[in-house]
Amino acid sequence: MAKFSEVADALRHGWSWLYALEVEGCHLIFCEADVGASDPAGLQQSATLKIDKSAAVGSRIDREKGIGVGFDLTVTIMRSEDTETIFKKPTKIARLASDLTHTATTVQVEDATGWTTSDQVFIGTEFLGTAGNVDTSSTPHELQTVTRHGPYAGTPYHWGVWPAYKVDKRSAVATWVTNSPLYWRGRMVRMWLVPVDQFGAATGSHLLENASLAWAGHISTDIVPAPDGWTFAAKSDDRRLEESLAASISGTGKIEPNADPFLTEYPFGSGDAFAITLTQKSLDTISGGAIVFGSVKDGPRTVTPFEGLTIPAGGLALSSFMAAVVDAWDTEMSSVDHYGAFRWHKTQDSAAVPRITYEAQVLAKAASAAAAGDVLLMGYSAPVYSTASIAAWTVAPGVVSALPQYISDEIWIPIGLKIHVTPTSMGIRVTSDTGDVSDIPTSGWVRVEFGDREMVTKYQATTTPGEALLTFNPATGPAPTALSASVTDEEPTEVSVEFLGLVSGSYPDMMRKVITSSGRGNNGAYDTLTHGYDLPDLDASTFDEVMDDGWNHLVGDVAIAARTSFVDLFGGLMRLGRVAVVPRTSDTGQAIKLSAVRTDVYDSPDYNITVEDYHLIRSGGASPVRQLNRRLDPNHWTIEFERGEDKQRLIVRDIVAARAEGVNAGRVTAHGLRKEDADLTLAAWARSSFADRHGMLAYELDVAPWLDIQTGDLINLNLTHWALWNRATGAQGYAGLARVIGRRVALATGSCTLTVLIHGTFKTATLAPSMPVTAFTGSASDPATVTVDQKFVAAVSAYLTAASPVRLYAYRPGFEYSYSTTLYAYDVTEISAAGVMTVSATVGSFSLSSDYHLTIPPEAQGNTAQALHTHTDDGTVWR
Amino acid sequence: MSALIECFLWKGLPSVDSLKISEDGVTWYTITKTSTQTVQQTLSAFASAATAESGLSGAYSFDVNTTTGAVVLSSSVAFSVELMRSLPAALGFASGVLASSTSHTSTSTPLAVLCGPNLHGVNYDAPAPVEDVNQFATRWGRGKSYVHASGSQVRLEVFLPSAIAEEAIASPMWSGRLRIIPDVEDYTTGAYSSTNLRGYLDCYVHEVTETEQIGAGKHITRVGLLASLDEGY
Repeated sequence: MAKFSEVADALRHGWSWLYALEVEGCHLIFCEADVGASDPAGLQQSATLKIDKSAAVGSRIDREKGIGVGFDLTVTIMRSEDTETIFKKPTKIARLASDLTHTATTVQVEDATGWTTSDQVFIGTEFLGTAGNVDTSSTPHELQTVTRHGPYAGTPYHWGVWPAYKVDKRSAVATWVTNSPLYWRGRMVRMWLVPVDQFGAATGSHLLENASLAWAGHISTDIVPAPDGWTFAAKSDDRRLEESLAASISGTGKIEPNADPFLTEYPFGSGDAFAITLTQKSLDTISGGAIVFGSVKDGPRTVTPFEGLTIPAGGLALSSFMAAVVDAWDTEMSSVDHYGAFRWHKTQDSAAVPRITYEAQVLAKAASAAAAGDVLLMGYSAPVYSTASIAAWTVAPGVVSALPQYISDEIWIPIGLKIHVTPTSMGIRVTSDTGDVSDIPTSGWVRVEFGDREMVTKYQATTTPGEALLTFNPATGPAPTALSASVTDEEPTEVSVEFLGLVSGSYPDMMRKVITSSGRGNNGAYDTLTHGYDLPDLDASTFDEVMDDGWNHLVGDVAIAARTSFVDLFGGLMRLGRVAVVPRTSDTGQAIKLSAVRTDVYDSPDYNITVEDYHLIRSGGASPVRQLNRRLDPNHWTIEFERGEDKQRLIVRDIVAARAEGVNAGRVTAHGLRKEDADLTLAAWARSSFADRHGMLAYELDVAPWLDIQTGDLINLNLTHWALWNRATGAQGYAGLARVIGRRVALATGSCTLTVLIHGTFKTATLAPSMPVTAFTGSASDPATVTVDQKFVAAVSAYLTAASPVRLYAYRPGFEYSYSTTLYAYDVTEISAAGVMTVSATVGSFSLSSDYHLTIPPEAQGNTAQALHTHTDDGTVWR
Repeated sequence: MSALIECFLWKGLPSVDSLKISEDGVTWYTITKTSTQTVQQTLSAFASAATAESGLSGAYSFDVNTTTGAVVLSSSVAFSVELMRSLPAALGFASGVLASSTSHTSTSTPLAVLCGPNLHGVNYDAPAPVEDVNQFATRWGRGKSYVHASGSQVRLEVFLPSAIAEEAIASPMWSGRLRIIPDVEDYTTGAYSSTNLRGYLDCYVHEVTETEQIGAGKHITRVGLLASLDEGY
């Protein structure tokens, strides 16, 4: 594999490239030409690809949405024997008979008659492999031992390998098992850039060995006939983030006045686990229907059957609690002889007190024909507990002294524990509109609509066959009066509900979860939700690198409604925090991963590359440098906090700017956050954006494609073109840093266009690093190497690129600040990827320890890379 | 006076970067180039590496015969050669596998280097600074060159025997980076400059502007080229 820039670099030496398009679940790889290369494993070349009308591909960050806006790819597939075969209707088709997991190698279908072991098996967008065996004697029929890809193990898929999916037999599109692809929309595509040498030959052992992945996305249209073939368009992966998540389902319900109350604490108290003292007596005789008890059997003993019960965070429905009590009883008593089952016996209290009582009872265990010596009875004791919704635990210690005459009957003995329920909250009894009650999540957020009312609240569901009972936390859920209005008024009691998807955690984590989650749990560490975009190629570490502690302190609980996209959920804060998610090529050129990048420009030594005049090219007659009209950042921010029904607002404004220019309003929504949790951070972000309002200029640059530049990179410009001007000095041209917020490549010509932001009136710059010394070798007064955290490698490497050796100063925080007393200089000649610096010389006498930090020296002893920190002050630095 | 035109053989990806040598026909040693170089430099580097290879006993000499225009691979001992990938076409060998011999001479026109009878001559004016050099970016099937915004541009006339012109013009020589030595018997070391007018010319070819068969019997083909000097890289 090679990077795009490496393949493009060959152009200057007479090489060329061709495109090869790989489609998910398709064994053909469509190429522009046959250059005599061998087929990659599992793929068959088809020289039928034509790319002549497609727009440039790439991505440009929409800073108001927080994502890259990728350009569509449009291709034509020419007609050939192979392509006719792949695009025509399958000749064998069978209906899926049972759900197919992503690891299953047997596909159950209703009718496999006519299928053979040589048949290829397709379902949905997936090619399942060739059937190793066909069993039409089983019920249902089976296509056995197909070879699935995956499960995804956290590394990028490479050529010929695609995910394996879970397929629900109810799916409208994936029900059909076929012997060739049935439909094409939604399939992932990869477009490879294949280098071709000066002599027209591909390199490597097969077509893709030295290829670079130039683009990745999903087919977004149907296959449309075109002259001599077919055409279709595809969207890049970042565009998927604008599409709805489809994370919610709907249901229909009725108000339940006497619903499950909601427990938020354990009724027995911590460490007071409802001990029951049991007294077992033997049956001596039965005389005339009367029972005569004998001696105590096995002595009194205390059991704590509910010790392991806990109330989960967020509470627990009473019905769930009662079920757990029964389970706990069964578990505890499985090792104790002579005690039977446990139950909650429901009784209606008097009409004067409209409440329900649940009484704990246990079954006296006796043989059908009890005889003398059998064990029957017990005593008990228990604590008292009460809450608002559970009126009281009534306990009446004592001993049952008599039993009915026919002891072979089931004899339920009350053990003195009662729960009185006063219906202080209501519930909703719901059926799923999908027809399957198991689709209803056991807990989460629900939007309830009845009449002209609407509420969004958390719930817990208790599922019974055919329906689920939703109950609400009395403290935070809807007030009973809100729901009872629909019962008592003329409005219908039937309500419409929408079960919202839910994602929780820090904002970077929630973003990663939403992007990767598949419902299978195998798209890496963040694939934890039942619904997400199922985009496996994510550079998760970039979210940690780009989103600092300010982001990680934004911990939310975000409900995902229908028609809600990633952009809807997170775009607002990404705009405010000036970050974006864009596709970027991995270092090997093998994968394109969605990555978090910054979208603002500042001086920093660790820029990627320098663009010189000779890198500019002219494409199509246009000037290679073009200034763009940049949309001015707002001077009046409205931040709306939205968490369920809870809504608040924060306004941050630059009143002077607003008076001078008029209000330029910006509005963002902080989903899942409360104002008190995030107002300080978000207000700071909003205020910091005011500096950018006159601080940046936007340009487009046409550059050679072999420059290794991607969207999100920080680059250094050293250009004299007249269209650029330095706002700080007024001079023509620009020498300084720029943020690449867009990069697109014209497929037909290979020309590359960058969209960059550069400093304007003001500059911002990174702070000088303070690098704690974690280890060193040599002596404390004359170290040979000094180790710092790996995160400082990029900066120190940049210093060394500018000049070597590079000078760093050591100091002890909190000690006297003086270069001549507590700061000592090192000349560093190299730094490894692990952060180990080689010291060539030291100045001063000292005893190095882990108390020391390293930083850059004063300006006179630094170099040009170190001068890009705010440590220097040239009068234009924005502090 | 005899001219020489040779390609730069790029190192970046596998293509014309390696060959295998065996002296006993059993044990093969792979020699791989380490940088982008002209054909003559590449041949010299291959020979040096082969000579230095401890498993090979011969003293190797690979070069272009500027009199015959052929590529000659020779050694003090007999050796077999396997030219990898596109190297046979670049050096003028019909086959990539050459049986054991102390000397192997190319049998067809080396497409990456033209001299001797394969090149009648080269004319060009002094390179001149220009703004907006003809910049374009094209790829597969349409040309393959890039140039920068401003630099030195030169127009060249290359005179080829018509017998090989068609094959030579179709070769990669005219789509990439070239070194042009106007007179191999009389040139000074170093690249052309205002102080070294007899230096070689390193340039990127933008386009073949024209071809014309000229002379009695039209045995000569004139090829017009537009190129820019190699700067900035």
